[in-house]
Amino acid sequence: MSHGSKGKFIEYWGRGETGPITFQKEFDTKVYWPRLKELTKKYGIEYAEGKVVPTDDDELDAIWQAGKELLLDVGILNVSTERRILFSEEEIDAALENLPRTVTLGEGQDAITIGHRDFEDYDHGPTPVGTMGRILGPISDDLYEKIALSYAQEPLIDYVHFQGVKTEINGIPIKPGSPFEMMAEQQHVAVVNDIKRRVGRPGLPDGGSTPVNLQAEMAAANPLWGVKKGDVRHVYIMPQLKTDYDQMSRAYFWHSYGANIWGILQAYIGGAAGGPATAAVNGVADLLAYVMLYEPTLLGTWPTDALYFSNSSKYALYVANYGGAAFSKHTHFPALVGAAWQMTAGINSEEYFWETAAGAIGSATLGFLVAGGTGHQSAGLDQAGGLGARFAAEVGKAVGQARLTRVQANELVNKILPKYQPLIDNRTLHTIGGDFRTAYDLKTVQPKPEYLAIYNKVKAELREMGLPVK
Amino acid sequence: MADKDILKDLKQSILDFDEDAALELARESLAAGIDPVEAVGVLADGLNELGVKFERMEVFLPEIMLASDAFKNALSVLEPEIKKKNTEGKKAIPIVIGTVQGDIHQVGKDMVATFLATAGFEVYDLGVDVAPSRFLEEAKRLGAKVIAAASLMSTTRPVQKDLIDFLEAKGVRDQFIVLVGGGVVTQEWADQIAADGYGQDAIATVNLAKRLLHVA
Repeated sequence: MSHGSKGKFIEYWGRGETGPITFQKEFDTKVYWPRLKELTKKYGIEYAEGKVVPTDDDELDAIWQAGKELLLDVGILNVSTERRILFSEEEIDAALENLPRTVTLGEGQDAITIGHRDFEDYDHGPTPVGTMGRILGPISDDLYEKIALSYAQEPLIDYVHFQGVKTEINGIPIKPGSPFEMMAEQQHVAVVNDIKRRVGRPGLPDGGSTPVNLQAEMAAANPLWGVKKGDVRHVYIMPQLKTDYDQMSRAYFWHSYGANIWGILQAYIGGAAGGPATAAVNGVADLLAYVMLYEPTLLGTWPTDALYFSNSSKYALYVANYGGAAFSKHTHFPALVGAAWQMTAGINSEEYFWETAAGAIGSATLGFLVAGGTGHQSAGLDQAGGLGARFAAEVGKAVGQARLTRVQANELVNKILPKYQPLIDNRTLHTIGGDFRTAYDLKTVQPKPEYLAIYNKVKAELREMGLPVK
Repeated sequence: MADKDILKDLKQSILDFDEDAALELARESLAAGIDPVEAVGVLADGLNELGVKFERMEVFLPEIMLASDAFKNALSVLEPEIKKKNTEGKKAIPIVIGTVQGDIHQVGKDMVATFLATAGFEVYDLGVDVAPSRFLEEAKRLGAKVIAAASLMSTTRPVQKDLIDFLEAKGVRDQFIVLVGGGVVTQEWADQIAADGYGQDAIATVNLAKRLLHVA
């Protein structure tokens, strides 16, 4: 199999020792930001209310070209050396041409193979391409197994980020760099493997990257009892367009171990990435930087509002859908994981399901994986559950059944947004909705009837809107 | 140039994020005999205006950072004159800020630091991965009244508690206002560890600091 940048890592990473010296603040304010603004203006890229799912290919071409030029012009800052790593256009084009066309996550009968999917393509495999469940944020020690089980037991979920953080081990807080972090990661991976076996899915891919320190991740890397080669771990392009030796070490370790890597478009909208339009351009540059520096097996879209953390706001959906679609249109990279990885409202609320639907409709239409599971901005305790990811999958399937066009998807998401966006605008959405204890029966690990009632209510409303969700 | 025009241009230098113009116009304002306190006042007006625009997503973090630098440039010229004249110019209140040990996230912390600076606080940004002992050492050295500690990860959140435990153990807890914030931090957590305040975002943190320090 040919590769994009594998084999070139030593050369590319080494440029962090010789590239132009640029201090971080200078990079942010004098190099990155002015060029990002110029390119966004040059290509006439503008955000407007109502733009959620892209319908105009010319606009995507413009975002792609601006994002590519941004990476070519400013490079990526290695903050460990405060030097920029630069690439030529020929290098980027060659990497894109030679990238793998499919990726397989997981092992054995539980593996999922993900290929590239065009927009509105409902004839080359299932819609959605796949479903990612995500556990994130603090999880009580007594609940971790139950929450993990609530995802693994959902047949429609293909891939799970079994994250969610244990906070203590034997009553001792788990701190980064401590031996307790290593112990916790070993225990965490063992619990996840046990849960996966218990539901008969031992090879279900796990993308949970919980430890802060690489040494703790390495402590659980063992193909017999720990992280499997079909599992996936995170490598980070830091906002905006920055990386460091720690991330290179992670990529080096996981590639040499033979496991998979995931990365994300990660624009902070309103923060360093600017408004939605500049953030979408930045998003393309993020994804290209990943290809050049780390060649991840899986990429996704994870923009967020910077001032009030939301992964599913109108701005975040615009950036995820437009930035992701621009990248997807111009590469044959396997399908991205689409918008709304974590919701803003708590999991036990209607708004949480509406956020999930808004993300999944755009993702399924654009040929991406859908995502769901975590709520409460991933900050609240025990705010994760498998039903949300099941719901994302069901919405995605309905999009495929209805063969939604991008125009129809955009119209539908615009009908959904008023159900929760006003609470993002007034910064109260995170206060709504209970946690796992309120949503699930802790003995049977099944959603409580009152939680299912909320889920069914939103599905019924979606059907009234014309989406044939079962 | 008339005094009014100089002050107008000085404010505009902040709105244009123009560090060089801010420095030059601050010098011009002194040469023209303008009260440096008045000059600082228009600079602050400019920053406040940008703060409102930031909330409306009309200007963005890199521009706020540049405006903050422009403000500092102008202040480097105006502040010594304020001291010389012994006018009622108040010394800015020092605040140390950082992301806690083990955590390298900086975006949110940078936003808070920038907004505190634009609100007139003397901000000492200790960066990321800051140990509790370093927060204390630097706060003491700089005479800070406030320690602001960010955590973006569930695994590093306990370090905010460590910071408070550390201050208690050293018998200096009552000398500092401890503010906590970050993606995984909640009011409940702040209450649990007995922090003095929780800032949900940059603007809220500035308002909180002003309230706790009784700054108008």
